[in-house]
Amino acid sequence: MNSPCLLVKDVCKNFGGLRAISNVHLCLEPGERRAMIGPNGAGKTTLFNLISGTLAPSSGGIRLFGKEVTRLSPHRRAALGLTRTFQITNLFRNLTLFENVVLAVQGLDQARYSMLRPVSSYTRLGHRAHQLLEAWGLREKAGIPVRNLSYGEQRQVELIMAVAGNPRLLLLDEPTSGLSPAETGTVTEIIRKLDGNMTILLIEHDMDVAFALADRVSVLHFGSLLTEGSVNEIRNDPRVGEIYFGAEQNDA
Amino acid sequence: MMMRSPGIAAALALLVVLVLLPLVLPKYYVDLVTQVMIYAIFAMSLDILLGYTGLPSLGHAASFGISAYTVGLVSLKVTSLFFVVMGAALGVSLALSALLAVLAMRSRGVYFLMITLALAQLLWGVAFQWRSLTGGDDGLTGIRRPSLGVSVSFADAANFYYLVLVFFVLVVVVLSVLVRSPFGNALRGIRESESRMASLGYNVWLYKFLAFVIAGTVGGVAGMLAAYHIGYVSPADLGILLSAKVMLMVILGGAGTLIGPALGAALVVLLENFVSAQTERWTLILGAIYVCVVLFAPHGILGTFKLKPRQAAET
Repeated sequence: MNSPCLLVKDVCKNFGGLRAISNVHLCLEPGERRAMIGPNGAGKTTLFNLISGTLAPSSGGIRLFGKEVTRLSPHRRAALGLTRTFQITNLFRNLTLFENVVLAVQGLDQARYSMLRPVSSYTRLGHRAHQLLEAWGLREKAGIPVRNLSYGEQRQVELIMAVAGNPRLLLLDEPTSGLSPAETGTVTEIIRKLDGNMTILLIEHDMDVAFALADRVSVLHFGSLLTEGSVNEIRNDPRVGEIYFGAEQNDA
Repeated sequence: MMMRSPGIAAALALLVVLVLLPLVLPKYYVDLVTQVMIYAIFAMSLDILLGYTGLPSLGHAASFGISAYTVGLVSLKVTSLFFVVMGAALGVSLALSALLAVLAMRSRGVYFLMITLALAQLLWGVAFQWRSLTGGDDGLTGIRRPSLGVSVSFADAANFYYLVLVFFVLVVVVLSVLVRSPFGNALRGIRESESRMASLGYNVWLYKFLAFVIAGTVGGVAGMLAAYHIGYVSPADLGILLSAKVMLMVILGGAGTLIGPALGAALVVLLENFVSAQTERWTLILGAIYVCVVLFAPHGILGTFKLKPRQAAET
C-alpha cells in the first residue's frame, strides 16, 4: 500500500484550441475500484487514452505503480501491468475466438517475438487461452471467428482479452455499452467477481452499474473533475443530478 | 489445423513433381517454371506485408530491383562467386528495406501505399538517370549465371532450375513456419487492430518494421534469382508495373494464405507467356480474370477455397 496504483497529476490535454481535459488529478490505491462518470463529451475516454498512453498529455504527469510513465508508449505501459478495454468493440474480427485470446495471452509472454516455432507448440499459451474460455463459459465457441459472435459475447471477449495478461490495473471503457438489461447484469456480475487485487478504473454511463461496482466515484464534467467521493456521497450530491439532468435535456 | 497433414502431403507431392519436371519438360518450359518459382517467391514475400500485416506496399519492386542491380554490379565488376554476390544482394535489400520501412511506416492505409510507391519510383529514377553506374535505360546486360566454385554449370537450364527450386523450397518452409509462429500471429493481430495490439503489450512499430525487412529481404532473393535468370537488369525491375503486378498476384491467389500468392504468380506468369503468344492484348484477359476474382472470389483463389469448410462448420 506504499505508492498509489495510478496517479494522474494535474493533467491537461488540448486539442488545438479545445481544452478536453483540464487539471485532472486522480489517485487510485491498489485494489480500489473506481468509477468515472460524467455526461457525453466530459472527456472520460480522452482521460483513458492519456492513462493508457494512446495520447500524450499537454501538461501534467502520470505515474503507474510508482513509476513515471507520462512519455511511455502504450505497449510499455501494458508491460507494467496496465490493460484496457474499448468502448467501441476492438477485437481481431476475422480471427477465431481462440486466436484472439491466444494473442492476448501471448502479448506479455517472452515468446511473442519467436519466429521459428508454430504457436501451437507453445502449450502454455494454448492452455491458458482454453482455461480463460472455460472460465468464461465460451469454450465451445473457440473456433468461431469473433465477427460471428453476438454483440453481447463480443463485449465479454473484450473483458477476457483485458484480463488475459493478469493486469494490475484494468481500465474498462463502458463495458456494458449497448448491452440489453439482462446482459448488463451478467457483465456487471463478471466484473464484480474479478480478482480483488486487480485495481479497476471504470467509465460507465449506466449509474446503476457504476454504483454497483465502485468503491469510490469521480465525476468528470467539461474536462475537469467536478467531485469525487464514496458511492453514497455521489448518489446524494445534488450537482451530479444536475449535470446529468442538464445533459439529458440537451440531448433531447 | 485441419488443413495441416493434407497440406504437407500435397506439398511433398508437389515437390516430387517439381524435382522430376526438368527430366520430362523441354528447356523452354523448364525456364518458364523457373520464372514461375522466382515470381512465387516474390509474391509470397509481399504477402507477409499485404496479407498478414495488412501493409499495402505498392513499392515492393524496390527490394526486387535493388537486389537485381546489386547482382548485376557485383558480378560484372567484382566477382562472380555466388556466395559473395548473394551476400551483397541480400544485404543491400535488407538495408534498403529497413530504411524504406522507417520512412514509409510514418503513414498508413492509402498513404502507406502512396509513399511506398513514391519511394520505389525514386529508386527507379536513380536507376534511370545514373547511367555511369546503372547503364540507365539500357540497364546492365551480360550478367552470367552464378558460379558456386564447383563443376556444376548453372548456364544449363535444368541446373539453374534446381538452384531456384532450392531457394523456393527454403522460402516456402521459412515463411510457412514464420506465419504460424507467435510472431506471425502478432502480424495478423496488427492487421486486424493496431490499437488493441498496443494495449495488449505488443510493440506494433517493431513488428511492422521486422515484417517489412523480412518481406524486403525475401523479395531480394527473388530479384537476385531473376537477375541471374534473365542475365539482365533494367529500371523496370524497380518500377511501378512490377510492384502492381506482384500485388495482383497476391490478391488473385489470396492475400494472407502464403501459398495462394504463389498460385497467383503461376497464373500471371503462365498467362503472360501463353496468351501473349496469341494476342498482344493479353493484359485485357488478365484484367478480365482480375475483375472476375474480385467479383466472385474476393478472398482470392486460395482464400475462397480455404474459407469454405470454415463457413460450413459455422452453420
